[in-house]
Amino acid sequence: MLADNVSRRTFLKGSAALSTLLGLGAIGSKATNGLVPTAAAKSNSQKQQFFNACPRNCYDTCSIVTTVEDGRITFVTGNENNHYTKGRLCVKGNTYPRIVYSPDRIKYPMRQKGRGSGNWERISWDEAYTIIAKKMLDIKKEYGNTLPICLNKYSGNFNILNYATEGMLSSIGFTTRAQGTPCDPAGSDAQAFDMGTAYNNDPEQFMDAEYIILWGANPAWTSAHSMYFIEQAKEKGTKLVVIDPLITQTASKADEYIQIKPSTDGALALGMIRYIMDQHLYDEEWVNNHAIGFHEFVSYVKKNITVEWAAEKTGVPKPVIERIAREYATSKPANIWIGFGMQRHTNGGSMVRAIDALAALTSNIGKKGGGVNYIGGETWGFNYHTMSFGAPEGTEGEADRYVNMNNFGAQVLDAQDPPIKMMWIACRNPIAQDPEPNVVKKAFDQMDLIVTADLYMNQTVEYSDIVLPVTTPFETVGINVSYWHYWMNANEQAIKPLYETKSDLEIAMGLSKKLNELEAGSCTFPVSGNLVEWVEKEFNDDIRKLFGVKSWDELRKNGGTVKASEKVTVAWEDLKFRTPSGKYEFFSKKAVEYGHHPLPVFIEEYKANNEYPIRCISPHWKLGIHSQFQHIDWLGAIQDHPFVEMHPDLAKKYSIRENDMVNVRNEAGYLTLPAKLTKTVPVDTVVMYEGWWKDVHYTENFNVKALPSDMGDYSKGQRGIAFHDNFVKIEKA
Amino acid sequence: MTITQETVMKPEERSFYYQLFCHYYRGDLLQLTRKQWKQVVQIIKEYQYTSLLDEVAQSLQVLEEVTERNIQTFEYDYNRLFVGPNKLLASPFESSYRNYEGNVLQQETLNVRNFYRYVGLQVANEGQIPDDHIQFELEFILHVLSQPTIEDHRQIYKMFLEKHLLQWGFKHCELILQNSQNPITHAMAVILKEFLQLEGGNKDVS
Repeated sequence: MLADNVSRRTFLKGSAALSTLLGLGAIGSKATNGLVPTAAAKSNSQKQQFFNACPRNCYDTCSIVTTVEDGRITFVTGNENNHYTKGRLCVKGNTYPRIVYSPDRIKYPMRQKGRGSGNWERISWDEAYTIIAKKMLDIKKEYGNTLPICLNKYSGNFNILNYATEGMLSSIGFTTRAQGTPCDPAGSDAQAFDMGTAYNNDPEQFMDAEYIILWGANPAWTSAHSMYFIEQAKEKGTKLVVIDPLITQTASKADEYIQIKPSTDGALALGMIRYIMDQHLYDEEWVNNHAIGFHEFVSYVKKNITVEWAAEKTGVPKPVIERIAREYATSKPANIWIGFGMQRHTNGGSMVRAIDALAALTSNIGKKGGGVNYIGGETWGFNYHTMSFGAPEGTEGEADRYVNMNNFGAQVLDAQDPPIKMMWIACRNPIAQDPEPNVVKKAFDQMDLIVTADLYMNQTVEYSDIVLPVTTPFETVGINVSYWHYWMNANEQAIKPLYETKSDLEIAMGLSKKLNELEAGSCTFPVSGNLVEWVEKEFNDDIRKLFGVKSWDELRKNGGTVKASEKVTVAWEDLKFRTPSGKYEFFSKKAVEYGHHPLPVFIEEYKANNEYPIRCISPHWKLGIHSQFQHIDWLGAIQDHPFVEMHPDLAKKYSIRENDMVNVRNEAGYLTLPAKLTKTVPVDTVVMYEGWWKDVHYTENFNVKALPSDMGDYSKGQRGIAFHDNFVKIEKA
Repeated sequence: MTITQETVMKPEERSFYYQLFCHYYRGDLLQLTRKQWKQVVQIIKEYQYTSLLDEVAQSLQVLEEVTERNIQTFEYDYNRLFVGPNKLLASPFESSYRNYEGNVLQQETLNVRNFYRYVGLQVANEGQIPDDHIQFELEFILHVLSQPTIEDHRQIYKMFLEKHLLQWGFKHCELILQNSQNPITHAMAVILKEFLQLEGGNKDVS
């Protein structure tokens, strides 16, 4: 009986009533977001391969071969055509399929109701553009300029087309920019004072070296592909020396490991130099013909430096300093790789200058297989066409305003006339990565609108008003080079962008279109364009000549990767330095201009005080790059929680056992995390690895103060951060 | 009370529920007012059988009595569960439940795609949103049910249900019930779970 009541009439009534109620056509009415009749052509189910480029802030910047079946990625691996990538990806690169296909990607533009509330509503791209464009135009109207709009963008994606974000903001007028880098400034300035710029030898030349010193670098974790060449060199008899306060995985591969007291590397270099001078092991011809200020430097060293002093300062025994100095000075070519961590000190730049001097006086600069290798930018000479459109006609003001990326929160809060009211964040996660994150949050609190473009939820997205979903490298087009190796990699679009994701360039075009709709002429950035046409515009004659390739299309058709001319792969081979004198400058007037001693002198290290006696170092972690990768669950399966490493003797002093929760505290803040006891760290130091750990509401930066390193303003506009001059106290929680 | 399957799942009612949940997962119910939710409940109540199940009846009562506050937070909870931008608390994609790696757009997705193609359908902009989003799976079944002209449509319906929706739908509902912070998402999960249970027990696709 009951069944009889459910009549055909009732059904129509029910379904029709629902459709009427919702104001919609019935399901199956070929709505654009539903099922539709099959198109005539079936999708291509054949295997296809594409070339991609890992765009992350990494030495290795790999060329990737991506296999696509039925329009989806089924395999990624390294490109064998690239002799540095050598057909292999690292543990992070191998997670790319998960990064693309995790259900947890940011999929749609969304707006948060109440910053930090977690209450998100989905909006269309048009709504997102409208909210953002209206705010930008309101700001311009209220303040007469666009300086209250601040861009904080950096290294999350080094695809050359991603500079479109900077270009888009330059296309609305003058804005405020987070300037500088937390990465390499002190060391880059040091090399700029000494040689004119930072310029490294091709890492494939490790195989040509007779002697290698990895000085504060841990490539086994941070540049896995370089390790191949280092291991090959070892195979043929090259000695590998690792100098580091921590017994790293790279140290475990060394022929000789030298544990040095943190922030005393300059003393070690100067001690070695004193020995080399005393023993006349330096290259007199080289320093006389290709350098200036050597005699002043000799005077300084003879007057101020002894090997005994260096031994005392560094904790490295005198005989070891002498032996290493002799070996280094008499092996040709000898190769030094200076890691970024070593210069994240208040005396970091001056330490790099001392190491540079060691390489210079032994004439290891300008030699294939030698060099004092830190970072380089010789292959980055693209057009940066996306940044070329200029401010709209009638724009008031003269230039962008800069705030220091390395003291971002405080400087945003301090900015006046006009204040900063809107923030655009791309390729960055400042709340996790900046020092003093609570100050950054305060700066965020002052904003009328915070827009973040990202792939995954993170602490910065959590504190944004609008999030824009971005593409992975596999869903867009691009071109990438490295600051370490000498290859250029094409990035082809391998798959359709998932959900509603867009590249930063597409976002720039979309926003410009909306701005011009609302106020004609308010943005000079092009409102449309084909991504391949955009990337072709990055090529110029210098790039074509350097790489011997005519176009992006030619590159992708011919293996997806190409190495620069051998001529540029030996840094300073012509010994024409880019300093004011054109020579290597032991004595740098430019350094004096920037407030430093003209010579590579030893600057006393930053000292602990009684209240916070333990140094806390935050080196890079093997399963992440800054806040990228390590939140991916495949890597979380290996290690899913942060920890603090300490020496068993230190732990014993505080009655801390393995896995005990430990409170790590100083004036800036505190965090509580489990202890991991290991003799790989010195007894007066604890280690917390840098990055962003999913599901914990702190980062290692909670107690990192915005203490500047000694250098950076010459080449980078701002000094770096002395991340490793962070002192704390610990107690069992 | 005991309800026999034959009396419960008549085609019309079955189609109605597929339609309802397809709209739900397409986001069409996000903007409903309290009054409109009452109307939805009235429409559901026209099909008395599922509403006679205690749990469903309770959920319908919850939907009838939603407050303005519940309505306001419904979308936020819906997004936390199914949309993002956070890690999804109840993924709407079949493949994320069924392959070892928990990825979308995997073999399961292609299997679903093949079903769609067999009856001449595909997801609009194929490859943009994984084909095994619950919205599409529900729409597919609705289509098959409403097209008796499709050859073997009963078998297709049965096979798809058994090989796909019923393979993960319960886990999906369980995750919603565990993570829901809003009475609407909770009630809808209860109704879906009970509906799928009836579908699972329904041997006769008449």
